[in-house]
Amino acid sequence: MKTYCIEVENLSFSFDKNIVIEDLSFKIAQGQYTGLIGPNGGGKTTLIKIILGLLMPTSGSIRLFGEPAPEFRRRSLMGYVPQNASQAEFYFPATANEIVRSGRTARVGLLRRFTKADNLAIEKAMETAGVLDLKDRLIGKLSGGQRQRVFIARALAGDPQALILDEPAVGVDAASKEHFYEFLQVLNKHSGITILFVTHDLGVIAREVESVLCLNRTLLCHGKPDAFSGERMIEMGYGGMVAPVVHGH
Amino acid sequence: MPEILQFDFMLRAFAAGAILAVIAPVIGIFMVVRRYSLMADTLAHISLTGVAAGMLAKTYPLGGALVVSVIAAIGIEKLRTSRAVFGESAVALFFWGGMAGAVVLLSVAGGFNVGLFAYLFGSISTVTPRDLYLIAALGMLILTIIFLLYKELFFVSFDEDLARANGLRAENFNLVMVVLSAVAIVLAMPIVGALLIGALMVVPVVTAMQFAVSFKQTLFISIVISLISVLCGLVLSYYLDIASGGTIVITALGIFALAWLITGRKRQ
Repeated sequence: MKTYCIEVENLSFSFDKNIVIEDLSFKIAQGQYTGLIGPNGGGKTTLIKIILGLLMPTSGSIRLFGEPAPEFRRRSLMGYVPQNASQAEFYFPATANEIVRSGRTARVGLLRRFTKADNLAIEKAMETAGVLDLKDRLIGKLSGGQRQRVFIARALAGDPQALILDEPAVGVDAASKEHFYEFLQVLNKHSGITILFVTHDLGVIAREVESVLCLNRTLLCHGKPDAFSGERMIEMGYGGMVAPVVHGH
Repeated sequence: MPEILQFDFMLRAFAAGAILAVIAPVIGIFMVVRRYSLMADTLAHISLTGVAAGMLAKTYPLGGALVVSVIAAIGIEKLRTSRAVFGESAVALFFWGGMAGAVVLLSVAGGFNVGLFAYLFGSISTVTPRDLYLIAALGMLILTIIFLLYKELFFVSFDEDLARANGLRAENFNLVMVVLSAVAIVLAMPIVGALLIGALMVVPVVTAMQFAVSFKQTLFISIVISLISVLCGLVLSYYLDIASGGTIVITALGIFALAWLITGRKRQ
């Protein structure tokens, strides 16, 4: 039987009587590279928060690695790279190394110290993300692209089998963006990490991913990117079908 | 032996001061990075209610303060996370509640007295042997808990959402932090005074952040700054006969100004 990384069934989420997500169903197989697109307020971030266990769905269910989400304990298998827009990090007096280490906290476990093996895993995560030379730099002193790679290293430090990235390329310059997409391809192809990737960049979707989810309150399309021309995706995702929904944070 | 070290009360003040100088920034750094600075002052005001209650009941004032501020700390955190009250207003409600409670209880007790003045602004002669035992025991407990939970507290402070997504019960760690702050604030009250405790938790940390090279080093530098501030403040307080809370905080602010000048020059 094929194992799925994420299985979403009849998922709905309402916030103050506004329906943010309605009757959503899809499956993401292990090792798949999926792009999630849709207009602002279409429920993308809400969906991610539900998958990560930060929000509870109003109805419907989610299974992660075959287990029902509420009972899923191996949460660090699901790496998460948040949006790059947070101002909070600029003043936080921590180095890249300290931030990356924090990504292994849950895996190490309560009242346990980092072992040699943990330290090796942390160093490997930094090496993979190309931030080993930045490890002693303060997070606030890094460029947008560098900070983003530190956050990816943090996600990798927990040895995840899946990575969820929420608009990771925002605030990153064009050259770093290209590098970044290549890097995700390598992670996906060589390390077999499942990737779910939120973006507004339709060019990237057409070029990089194997499968597209187009979300505007409900699922508008799901399939291979070449099945949808760019124009059709824009029409479906951003055009006439845009519904007035309130984004629930 | 210098005259200052010949008095038992001064030795107690130095011992208690040194312990507090370590605890205050260790808790303060987590408050500062989470922008919880108002929380320290709020808990201090609430512990004044506890002190007043203790005085009124003619029991140990710090004991009263401990009970009241720990209960309030749990209440603040529950109200804050319930989102029933908007943002920091939840904290502010307790801030005023604490002050009002203290004033009411003191009016019942027949007004201000010298004992209370010491708890407001700190005094080197207030530290009783019983206070010192309490400060040493609970101080060690606070440091042990923070040492054991350091990596989780760091993770939750830097990125609470990710910590939750990784399965950490962030609300429990927040609660631990607020309760430990409440205890530390009560312990610091005899020397630094309720109105100035927040400064001892925040100023050394903010000063150390100017030199920051990592989180651990910021913590270490802030402990050193805090120790210098408390010890210098106590000596000044003794020789100039001034409330120790004031001299400690002015020393800490002086170090901040100096650090700001030095790093400002570097920035240019």
